[in-house]
Order: sequence, then structure tokens, then C-alpha cells
Amino acid sequence: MKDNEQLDIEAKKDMSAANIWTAIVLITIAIIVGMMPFFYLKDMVVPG
Amino acid sequence: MSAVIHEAHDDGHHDGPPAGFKRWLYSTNHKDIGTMYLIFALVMLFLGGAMAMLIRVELFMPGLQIVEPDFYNNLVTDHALIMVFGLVMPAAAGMANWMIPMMIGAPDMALPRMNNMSFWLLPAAAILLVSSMAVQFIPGTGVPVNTGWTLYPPLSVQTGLGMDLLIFSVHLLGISSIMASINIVTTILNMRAPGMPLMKMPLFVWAWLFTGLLLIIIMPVLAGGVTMLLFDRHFGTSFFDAAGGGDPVLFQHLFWFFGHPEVYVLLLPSIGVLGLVIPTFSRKPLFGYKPLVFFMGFLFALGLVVWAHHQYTIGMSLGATTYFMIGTILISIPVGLMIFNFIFTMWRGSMTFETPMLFAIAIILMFSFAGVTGVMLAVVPADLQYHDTYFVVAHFHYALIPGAVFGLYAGVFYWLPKWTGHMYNETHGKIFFWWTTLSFNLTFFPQHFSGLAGMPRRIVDYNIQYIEFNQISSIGGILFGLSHLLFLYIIIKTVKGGEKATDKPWEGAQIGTPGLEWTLPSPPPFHSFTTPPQIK
Ligand code: HEM
Ligand SMILES: [Cu+2]
Repeated sequence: MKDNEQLDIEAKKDMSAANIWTAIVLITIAIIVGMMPFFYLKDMVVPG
Repeated sequence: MSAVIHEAHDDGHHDGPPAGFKRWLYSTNHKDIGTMYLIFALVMLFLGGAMAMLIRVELFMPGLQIVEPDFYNNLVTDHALIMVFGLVMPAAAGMANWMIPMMIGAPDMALPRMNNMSFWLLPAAAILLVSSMAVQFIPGTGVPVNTGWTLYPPLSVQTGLGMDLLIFSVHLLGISSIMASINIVTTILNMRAPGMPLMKMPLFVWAWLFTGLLLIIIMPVLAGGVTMLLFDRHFGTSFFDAAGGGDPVLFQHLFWFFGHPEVYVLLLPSIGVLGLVIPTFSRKPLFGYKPLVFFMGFLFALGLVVWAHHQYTIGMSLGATTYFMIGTILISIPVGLMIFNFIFTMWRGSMTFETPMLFAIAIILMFSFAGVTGVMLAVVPADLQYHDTYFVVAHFHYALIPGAVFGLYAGVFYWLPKWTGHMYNETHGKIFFWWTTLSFNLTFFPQHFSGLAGMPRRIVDYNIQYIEFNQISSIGGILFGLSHLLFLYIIIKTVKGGEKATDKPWEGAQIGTPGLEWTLPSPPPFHSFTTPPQIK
């Protein structure tokens, strides 16, 4: 089988780098929102 | 992607899928991964459906019949989680995988290997979820997860081992859907064929763009929230423990910051399907494509800031309560306008009523009903009465079954010819439509009344005064569940054979939309587009 990367696709241009950058931007957003509750609530991280 | 242009031609005949399990396990092909998502969703539909039927059998009579109270609450919890995370989201992701690259003229998804991983995390998550249910049968593992899908502390801090497994399962589900969303958003932004600007994309693609962005914003918050639960359970923190300076209500905010947008995650892909099905069978372009995109954007933005309408009863300040009430009522404006756009699309069209269209019309009727009960619930003084009763259960089943599940069924019937290369049997499709629609209403309509009369949700037993409504509901529920055996039969039969489908089995499929997916054969070749398609 051929990987998608090896296909003879005459796409208008190679988007691999753009794809990875888009993914990095999006995952950064995800990580930031995911961390937010922890920072907001950091005062509660004390043994109960 | 571009380096090996001539090499690749030499072994062009190897271009098909590899044989055996490797085709699936190592797949980077959007259609194969889409198929796996859809099969996974179908399995989860039956699992979650079996739980629902058990719930309805138990509720046929007041008093305890067949399950223990904790197990009952465990069923309620896992039924919801399985339907939300196992059925609707994977089915919608499966359709996105199958259709979006074809619709925008892309060779595949932007990040095909990540696509593989997003899918294969799901079976792992499902195993954890099922084990979270199964451990209760091992002595010494504590109380089963009896919190409901909202997992509110302090109860969720006190339950047994099952909760830990469930938290890990939610983690995997979260990672899977974040990765899938990143992939879908990236694909839509970067991989469109030349001549396919954003404002030409089929509505389904727009719907998924917003869905994907929503998921990227909300899933991490849920993951964070359940992680904090895990910390409170095992590592001595007190995020949600008032005795240690924390606050259980904070979890509710975190959960509903995820939970309310999540209902749009479930809804939007199906709205996208309607945006294709209704023009097709009305043989008219979509009425108000641009406004529809705008309404979806409005829903996306407003959906993120109204979450606390699920928590009116916790005692928020008057200002906060008023804000959340007004925000929530505002949401019904774009929702209502979308419905009018669909109705105007049908207006004076030459309509035919194939199964997908029947579903689409029924969705409009039944979903509007959920919109009406939604506005009732949004009004604070009213909600103080309705909250945690069967009225809420009726509301969200009218929202989610027509709004999400039936939209996916419409999509299944609409695209089954494209996916399999065979036409499904229209008579069977119609029988399935009437059977599910009637039994769905039989199940959930009476719950409005038992709810208004005060029957609380998530309780195994009920007062004798609610018996008639519950018996009607239970009979409806069993019929609704059984209708899905016909669904399974139709799918298997269509996959195996039947009348050959043409490239464009629906006469009106390309009206008002580029419809690239219909320029490919049915079923499409293993690699859809090897050269970028021409858009007229
Ligand atoms: C006109 C738009 C809508 C309004 C104003 C609205 C309003 C509300 C309100 C106020 C509640 C909280 C009720 C309570 O717990 O006391 C609620 C619950 C719920 N709604 Fe809606 N809703 C709308 C549309 C939708 C849609 C489109 C969906 C899904 C596709 C949906 C799914 C749900 C679910 C799942 C719950 C219950 C969650 C739970 O407590 O487990 N709603 N809705
Ligand atoms: Cu909500």
C-alpha cells in the first residue's frame, strides 16, 4: 500500500507544513483552556 | 506528498487497500477510518440502547422490579455517556471522515496518521467504560458510578473504583475527539480544492468546522474537571470539597461549560446533514445559505456563554441568573431562524419523500418542540419547578433524538448508496422511519406530563400516580429499541447487495452546492481524488 504522503497527487501545493502548524495552533488553544481551571483554582490545591 | 510523483505511477495497481486486519489497524484512509467510526457507533447504539430498555423495563412499574437502585443509577449514567460519546459523536465523526474530504475535493484528511489514532483510542475508551461498569460485580470495589452523566461531586468523590476507570475513559474520549477535531478543522481550512472558498462549502462542512472548534475549546475543560475529581479522590486535594476550602459548585460550572456547548456538538453535524438533504429532495437550493452559516456561528459563540442555565437551583446571584436566562432565551433566535430557513427551502420545491427527507421533515417538527420546552426551561422561576424532573428528560430527548440521532439516520440513508454502491430498500427505510418516529413519541411525549406533575429523574422508584405515563413510555421505549433491529438489517442488506447505485443516486443532490462527492463513483475508489477536482 502507498501511504497518503506518497500518492501522486498534484495538489495545488504541498500543505503538510501548513497542516502541522494549524494543528499546533489548535492544540495550543486546547492545552491553554484545559489548564485554565487548574490555575484559576490553584488555591484549592491544599490537603483537605 | 509531491516528491515521488513518477515513482508512484509504476505500481499504480497496488493502489487498493492492503488485505486483512492491517487495512483497518494501520489505516490512514479517511473512508476506512470513517467506516470504522460508523461501525463503532452502531455497536455503541446497541449497547446504550440495551441499557435504555433495561431502564424502561424497570420503570414499567413503581417499586423495585429487576435492578438494584445503585445499578439503576449506574445504567442511567452509562446510557447517557455511551449515547453521547459512543454513538452520536463517533457517528458524526465517521460521516465527517467519509464526506468532508470528498466534499471539499481533498485527497484525504490533513493528518491521516493522527486520524488513525483518534479512532483507535475509542475502543480503548469503550473497554474502560464497560469495565467501569463491570467492576461493581467484584466485591470490595465500592459503590458503582451512580452520579448520572454529570458526575457531580461530592457523590462522585465517594463512589468506588468504577469512577476512576470512568475518569480514564473520559480522558481517552477527550483526547480522541480533540485530535479528531484538530484534524477536521485543519482539513477544512487547508485542504480545499482550488475554487472552493469557505463560502462555497456544503453546509455539512461548515457545521463540522464549528463543531470541531467547539470541541477543541470544551473537551479540555471536561478533561481538566474530571482530572481534578481524580485528584480529590486520591491525592488529597480539595478542589470540590468545602471542608478543604474548595467548592462542589465549581465542578458544576466546569462540567456545564463543557456540557452546554456539547449539545451543539451533538446537534450541529445533523443540522449540516439537513442542509444537504432538504435541498436535495426539495430540488431547490438551500434558502439563505449565508444566514445559515451565520446562525451556526452565532450558536457557536452564544453556546459558550450560557452554561449555567443547568444550575439555576444552586443559588447564583440575581445578576448572574438574569444574564444566563437572557442569554439562553436569545439562543432560540438563531435556532428558530434555522428552522425557518429549512422550511423556506421546501416552500414550493418539487418535493419527494424518500427516507432521508422523511427524517428531515420529522426532525423539523419534533426538534421545534424541544425548542419550545427549552425556552420554558430557560425561564428561571419556571425551571425551579421543572429542574430535575422528567420534563427535562423529555426536553433533551426531543432535542437529541430528532436533533442529533435522527439527523444521523437521515445522513445514513442519504449516503448509504454512496458508501456501499447499493441502494437501500426504500420500503424498509420508510417502515423504519415510521416505526422509530412513532415509538419515539410514544416513549417521550408522556414524560412531559409526568415531569410537570413532579416525577423526579434518575430515581429507580416512583409514586403510584405516575404509573400510566410510565407504562406508555416503557412500551414505546421497547418498540423504539426494537426498531433498530430493522435498521441493522437494512444496513447489512445494503452493504451486501441490492440495486446498484449510480454516482448521483439523488436527482437533486447537486442543486445549489458544488456536490463534488457526487462526481465520484459509488462506492468511491480507495483514494478519492488523485487530481484536484474542477469546481464549476
Ligand atoms: C431553544 C434552545 C434551547 C434552550 C432554550 C434550552 C434550554 C435548556 C435548559 C434551561 C436546560 C436545563 C434544564 C434543567 O436541568 O432544569 C436544558 C437541558 C438540556 N438540554 Fe436544552 N435547550 C435548548 C436546546 C437544546 C438542544 C438543541 C439540545 C441538544 C441537541 C439540548 C439538550 C439538552 C440536554 C441534554 C439537557 C439536559 C442535560 C442534563 O441535565 O443532563 N437542548 N435545556
Ligand atoms: Cu444547556
